[in-house]
Amino acid sequence: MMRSVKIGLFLLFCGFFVPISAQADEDIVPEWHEIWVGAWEDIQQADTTDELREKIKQCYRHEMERIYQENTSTRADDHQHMRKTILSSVRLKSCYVEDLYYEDKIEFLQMKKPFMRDPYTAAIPTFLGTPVRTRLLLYRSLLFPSLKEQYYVVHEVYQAALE
Amino acid sequence: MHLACILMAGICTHIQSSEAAVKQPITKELWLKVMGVETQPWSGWVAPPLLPDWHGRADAAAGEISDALATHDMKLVLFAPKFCFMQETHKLFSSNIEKADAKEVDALIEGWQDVRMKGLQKCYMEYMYIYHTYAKDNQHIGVAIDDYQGDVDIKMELYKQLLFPEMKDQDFLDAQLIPEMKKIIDMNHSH
Repeated sequence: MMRSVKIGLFLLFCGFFVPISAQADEDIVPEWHEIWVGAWEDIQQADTTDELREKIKQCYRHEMERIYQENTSTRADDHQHMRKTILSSVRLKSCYVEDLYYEDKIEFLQMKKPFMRDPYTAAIPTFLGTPVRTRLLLYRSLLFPSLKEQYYVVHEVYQAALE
Repeated sequence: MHLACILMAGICTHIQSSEAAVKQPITKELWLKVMGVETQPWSGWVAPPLLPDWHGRADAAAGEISDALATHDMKLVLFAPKFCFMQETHKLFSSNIEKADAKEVDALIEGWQDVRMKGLQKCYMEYMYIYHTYAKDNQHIGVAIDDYQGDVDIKMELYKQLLFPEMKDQDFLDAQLIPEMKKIIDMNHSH
């Protein structure tokens, strides 16, 4: 009897916790799963970092063109609408995730082979000894406004690039 | 039944701790390591409005451009906005903020964010001016500076959305900023 109660409670417990943990990512970064899948698809399709760089450029370009096409009017209301479309674009967030992944990856490759002179070498500019990622910082602040989201995104991408 | 409850609590702690082991929150050290100069305040940034007090920021931006122009070195002119962005993004969490007591922290962060966002707005104004006035026509030098490479229009759009969330500020930038800055720079030059 006690055993079946324990098993019953355990199962109840699993049923309770699994959805919570699955949902946790989405709570921190809305639509994270979709963002990540979109980014990962591009990352996996690229054989070299150069190809990935090109994919990232295309990703931003295509998505911004789509947003512009949706918002061709010059009325003030539509400017506001365009801003909202940019801020809520899942695709744009995927582009950012690829972008950050690329930079992390390049940095790891450079750390491994600091004198490498091949297409993988992309000089990351530094300022007073630390890498400067102005563009990544500004894009991220726009696309993932809360620091909690930013921590999460940075952590996930960093871990993925380490592998 | 009591035993079951205790066991359940045990399982609960176990599940939570094993989950915590998998999903370690990013530490401050890791954050610094990964982000380098990107460290930034604890909450999302909200840029202050540009209008109506845009003169201070425009003067500061024009001043830096005038200084760069005085060197007669086009590379330095093109590099000015990049240097501005580098400086502004390099400002790390000051030790004052870490040491301040809880009551002061919010005020400090708020004030600091405001200063820093205004600094970044100034950089954007330099960037926009230099790009439209010089970089487009000096692609042979400009390509050496990654801020003028590739999809500059996209970069400008996304920076603008972050730094100038208000529509009237965006309209001002599009329609009036460049001529207004030109006036200030010409005036600086004639003195």
